[in-house]
Amino acid sequence: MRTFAALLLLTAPSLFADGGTVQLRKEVGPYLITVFTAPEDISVLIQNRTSLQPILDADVLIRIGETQLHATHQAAQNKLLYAAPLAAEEPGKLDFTIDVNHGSIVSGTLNIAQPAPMLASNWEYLALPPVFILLFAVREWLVRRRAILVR
Amino acid sequence: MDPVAAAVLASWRLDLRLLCLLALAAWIYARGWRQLHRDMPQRYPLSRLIAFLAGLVFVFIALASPLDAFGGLLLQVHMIQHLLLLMVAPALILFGQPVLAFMRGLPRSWLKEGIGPFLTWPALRRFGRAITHPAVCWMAMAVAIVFWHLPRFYELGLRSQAWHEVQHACFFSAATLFWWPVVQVWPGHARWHRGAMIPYLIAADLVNTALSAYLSFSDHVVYPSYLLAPRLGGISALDDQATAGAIMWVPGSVAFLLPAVILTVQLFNPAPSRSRLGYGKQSKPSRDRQGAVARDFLQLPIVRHRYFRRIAQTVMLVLAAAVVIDGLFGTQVAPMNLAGVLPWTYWRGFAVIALLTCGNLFCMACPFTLPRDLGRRFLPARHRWPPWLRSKWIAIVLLLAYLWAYEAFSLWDSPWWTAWIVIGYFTTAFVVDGLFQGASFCKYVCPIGQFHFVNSLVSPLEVKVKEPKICDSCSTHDCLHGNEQQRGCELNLFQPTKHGNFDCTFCLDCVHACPQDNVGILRVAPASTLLKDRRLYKRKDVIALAMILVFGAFVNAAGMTGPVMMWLQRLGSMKMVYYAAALLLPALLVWRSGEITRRFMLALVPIGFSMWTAHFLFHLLSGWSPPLQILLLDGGLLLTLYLIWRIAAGLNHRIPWATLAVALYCAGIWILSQPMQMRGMVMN
Repeated sequence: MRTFAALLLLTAPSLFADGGTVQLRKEVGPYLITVFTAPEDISVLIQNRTSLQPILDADVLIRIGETQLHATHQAAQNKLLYAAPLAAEEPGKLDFTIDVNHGSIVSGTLNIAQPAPMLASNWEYLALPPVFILLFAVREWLVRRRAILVR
Repeated sequence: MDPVAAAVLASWRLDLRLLCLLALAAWIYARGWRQLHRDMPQRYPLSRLIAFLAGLVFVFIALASPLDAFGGLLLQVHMIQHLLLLMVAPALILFGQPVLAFMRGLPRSWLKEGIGPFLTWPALRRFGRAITHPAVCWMAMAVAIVFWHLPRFYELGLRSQAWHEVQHACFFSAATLFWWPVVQVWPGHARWHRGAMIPYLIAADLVNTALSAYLSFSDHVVYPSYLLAPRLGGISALDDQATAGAIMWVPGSVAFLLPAVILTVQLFNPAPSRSRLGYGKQSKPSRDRQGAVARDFLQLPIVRHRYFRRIAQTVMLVLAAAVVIDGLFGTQVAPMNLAGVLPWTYWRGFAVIALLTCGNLFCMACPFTLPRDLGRRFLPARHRWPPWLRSKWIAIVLLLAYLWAYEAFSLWDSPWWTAWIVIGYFTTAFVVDGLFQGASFCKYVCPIGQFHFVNSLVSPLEVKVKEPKICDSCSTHDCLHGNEQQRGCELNLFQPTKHGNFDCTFCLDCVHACPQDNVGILRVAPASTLLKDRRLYKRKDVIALAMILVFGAFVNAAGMTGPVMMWLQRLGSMKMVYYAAALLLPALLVWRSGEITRRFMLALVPIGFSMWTAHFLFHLLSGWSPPLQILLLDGGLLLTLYLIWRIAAGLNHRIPWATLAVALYCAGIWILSQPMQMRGMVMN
């Protein structure tokens, strides 16, 4: 069945970073955990609580509703982050839990919105034919105008 | 290397759209530069090419490198990204003098027929002169820098990817305008004295300095979003902002003041006069623009080889044998069987890519005709194909039967049936061509061949005569009749009178038979045959074939979408009536059509081919890739509309046919937006 991409409705002041918008930042155990969400993925930055040095060898497990995913560096553009694809069947509120190294846990709630329709998310490609037709019409007008002027 | 540093350096973004755009720009520029470098080596030295390409590389670095990945976390990184887009990339690109290079790099017909009328449009020229006036250019840069650094608008770019892209586009376009009078882009002329560019640059630096001083010395974080960002390496948001200000101040000022210094030096040490450098000199037309012999793709060493076709056919024959063996004796789970995967997923996908980018390469490498050629030692093919069967009707019936059987027997899901179809193909080709002369199977029977013949009318390459004058003096016509060493065209295509790819299997027999070496694989305007070759639309069988393939593309793809599948399930056994009606009705309309109507029908081939390509790429790529497939449909629609426009010159039939083309396009877009059955794959 069709899998809906998730679009997040943002409530708190937020920042668009590589990983998306900052959802929460929390100190848990020896870590400072920052969670980002983007329309298509959820990503996590784990730092040493005191030195703020990024930790790159953690085991990060993300639970969203019934789904459980391993977040990896491969899935993120910013390789300091751990990311996992965000796939929700339906729009609505979903609880998430992030478990770092089997014990340091943060949790929160995501607002999953209806995904943007395919037509809306590809508007620039759909706009190409009208743009080219318009340019062609202008070109034809110019050519005819020039022919009249020459005559 | 420190693992954190390694992770930072590995944070690149693979942006295919950006890469394609930059590669296209580089390719067009390089084509133009090559000609200009030959005609005006002093005006277009190697440094121009290097500068232009370096500018493109900096655009890529700004938008896809770790600078982009970390720009949202550290203001100083974001600042470097913006400086590249404002001060480095545009200046380098303009130093490459791209206007003339782009004009020379485009195909001549595009420049003359497409862009030419715009270039001579007085209103556009006035607009161009107005926006490249130094005062306007300076204001554009100053406004862009100040506006986008106001906290409200900078925050907008930080919170929304779309606005971030708008911000980058504003920076790049404003900076391009700013550097335009400084670099003095040719063939425009200087509006202000060169000396005036020195205060122009210094004044811009004052704006830059004021802004960077504000960032550096501010006692609060100007952009609140950075307060929320995790602090990497323990740098506070305020320190990060001060560093960003320093970066904007020092390297930014260098970017403005260094050209000012160079200009000052130039003013005191005048360079060689413009005429000595080739400015304003009438450029000598290069060989390419004098209509020299078009490039023959047979010059590629591998393609030229006499046994190239045989080798390609042998590879395909081995694959076909593997399909038969696995189909008959292997597991009957289609995604785990070669007969379920190779023909239905890979072969169809690669065949349409070949048609789109080259030509009828499938027929060139056809495995079915290889055993036939070997078998002719035993079956000497004495008979001539009956004249009353010399049309496409047998192939049309077989094509309809195939499209019906594909749905009725779920052929994609049955390795056993697939293997028997391949065996049937080999047998039929062997028998037909064993009994009848020439390539009767290819020309009159093979439904796959007809698919390729029709859709290769849109292909950009064609087997054709290189120099028509040479053929005028030819009396032997070896390309058609052959000679002692090489057989001629088995499909009876006479090269000097042949138009387009219809009925051409790319077998290259004519190429090897021509004693003058006057036949090659040459570039042609896609679909131009549909306008030129009158013989095509005089034949009702050809038009019926084209119509079945056009409507078949949409019917076949729609049959895999969720809503249509559910509707067909409700129809039950009546669904075959739907398929028959959807495919047969357009073909039957041909009976009642006149010649003009048939010309319009043929104009629909590009939109049909674009749907086939989008559909088969769905299987090859294991899913929809909307930008690519929408672009394919865009191209198909525009080409079809252009053909309708050309055909309809002086006629009033344009609107209904254009409406039909747009309706097919909308149907294609609707299909792309639906969930599809992943036939032949594990995820089915």
